[in-house]
Amino acid sequence: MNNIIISLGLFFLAALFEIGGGYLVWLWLREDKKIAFGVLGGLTLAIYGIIPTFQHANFGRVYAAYGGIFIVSSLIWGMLVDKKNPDKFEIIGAFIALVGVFIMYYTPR
Amino acid sequence: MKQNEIYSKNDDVGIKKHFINMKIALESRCVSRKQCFTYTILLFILAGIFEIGGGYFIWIWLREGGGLQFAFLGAIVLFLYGVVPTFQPADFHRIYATYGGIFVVMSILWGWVFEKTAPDTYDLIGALIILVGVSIIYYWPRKDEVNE
Repeated sequence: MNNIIISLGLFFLAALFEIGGGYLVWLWLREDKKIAFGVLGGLTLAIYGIIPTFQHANFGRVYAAYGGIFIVSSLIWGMLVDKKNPDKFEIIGAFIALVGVFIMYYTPR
Repeated sequence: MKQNEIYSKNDDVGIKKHFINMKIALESRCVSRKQCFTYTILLFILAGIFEIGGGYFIWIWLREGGGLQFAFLGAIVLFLYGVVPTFQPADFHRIYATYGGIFVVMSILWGWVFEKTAPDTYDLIGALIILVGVSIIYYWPRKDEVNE
């Protein structure tokens, strides 16, 4: 159980750094911010790259599960930071994607 | 694309001007929904290659005892990954959510090719369902779109 909590925590931490870093680069190139945002974004993305090395499980399926957490985190980021609530199709799509993640990750083998 | 208007008051950083020209050149090819589909899919896949590749370099540095040059390489590739989604014609959160689905599929492929762990039936079913979900997120036609 502890392992699940730790690994979920690491997933969300990774998502925070990845989406945050990507967002800073986005601000630089799409929202007309200074190059400092781009540099900071690059650094944040490099830190993101370090986080998965603390996970100890096999690569393919763990990363796939991270993808599902990433989908939901992106929509939450849009709500909190960009103040853009997900529309109907984004919510439906995210639910369908989560069903896929659960089948992939939690089906007993 | 109407994003180009945003660039009218740019600071005169050379890289950025270069980026804008490249972006306009690329987007001019994205004239119909069908062509746009190919363009956006290719961008998603490119982002996946950069992200998983960059992460893999850092993995080699920290987990496989590779030299510090792998850390630098990884950082640069991850930064490039951050640039790729800015070429997508949509809102930030929608691009990233969709990219999550592409990332799932590419992770499975990566594990298959480099770690020799073939996906089982449930991995494949799950991945297919995820792709349906993110296709709805990204490609469902919205009324407020100018993108014909």
